[in-house]
Amino acid sequence: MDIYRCLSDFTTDESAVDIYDVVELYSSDHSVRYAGLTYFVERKIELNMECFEEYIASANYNKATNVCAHELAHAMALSHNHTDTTSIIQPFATSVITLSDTDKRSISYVLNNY
Amino acid sequence: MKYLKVVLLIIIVIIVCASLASCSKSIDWSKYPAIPSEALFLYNTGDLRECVGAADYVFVAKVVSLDETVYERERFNEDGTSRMDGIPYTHFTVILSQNIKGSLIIGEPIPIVKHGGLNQKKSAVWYFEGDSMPYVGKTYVFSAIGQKDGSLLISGPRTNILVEKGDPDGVISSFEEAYANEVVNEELAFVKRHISKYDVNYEG
Repeated sequence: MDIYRCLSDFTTDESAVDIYDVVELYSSDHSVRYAGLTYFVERKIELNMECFEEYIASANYNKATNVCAHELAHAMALSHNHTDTTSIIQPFATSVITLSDTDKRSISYVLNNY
Repeated sequence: MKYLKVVLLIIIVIIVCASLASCSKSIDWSKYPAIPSEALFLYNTGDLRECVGAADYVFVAKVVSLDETVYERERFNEDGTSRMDGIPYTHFTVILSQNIKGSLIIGEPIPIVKHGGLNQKKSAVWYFEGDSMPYVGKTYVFSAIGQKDGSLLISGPRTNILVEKGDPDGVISSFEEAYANEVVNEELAFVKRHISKYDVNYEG
């Protein structure tokens, strides 16, 4: 299992974004405290490979997939649902990706102000 | 010979002026539209005890200069033109007055890097949702992550909280209390911690 295989599950139709244009694998430049990051304007996502490799090594494929899907969904202009928990990767949160296209506050804000 | 001396003197004056200008530059972040970015943090950013637990260093410091903005990971087309802007990292110099977590050098200028800043087009300011950019001349409680090269990265929401004169809002005491009750989220268990080269215990 690799990260592109994870992401390809979500980009199978013709309208989907080219994941190689969107995804940036990120591991060595900076030590950070996030698993994934979406740059809304650039529609680019950054994945902390130290984190991702840890999930894979511990056979936590669900968590790895969720991180990829969550950030990729942001890159495709989906924002958080109002009922979204603080983080999908926290142990107390469900493994469901709680994103909604009905609440685009963040992306709208960006596009209106950029 | 006299002409040469005058030219050299003019060059020296220009260099000194340029140096002073670069040292004193400041950015009014409020003049720019904000570009918030979303991240999946490995801790609960709403809990100050977890914020302190995620940081390697927490300290009170005054920002003395904004030194430069470095843009990393810019993408280029095959013809060399830019395809995607780089991500801004703003370099500041600060002087510590107090350590809350960790033991950084107090009273001497040390550099820090803030994950965020003006975008490459200079049209907007980028930072994390729930975060803000520091101002030169102001004092903050900073939460920093030690980097492999020994530098200090300020990255994430609530990683620089303004401290007003006399701290009427009790910002410093709230961080001291948070450190006393520090919580390290289990998601951070595998994260590598690095000692800063500005740590008094740094041995190289």
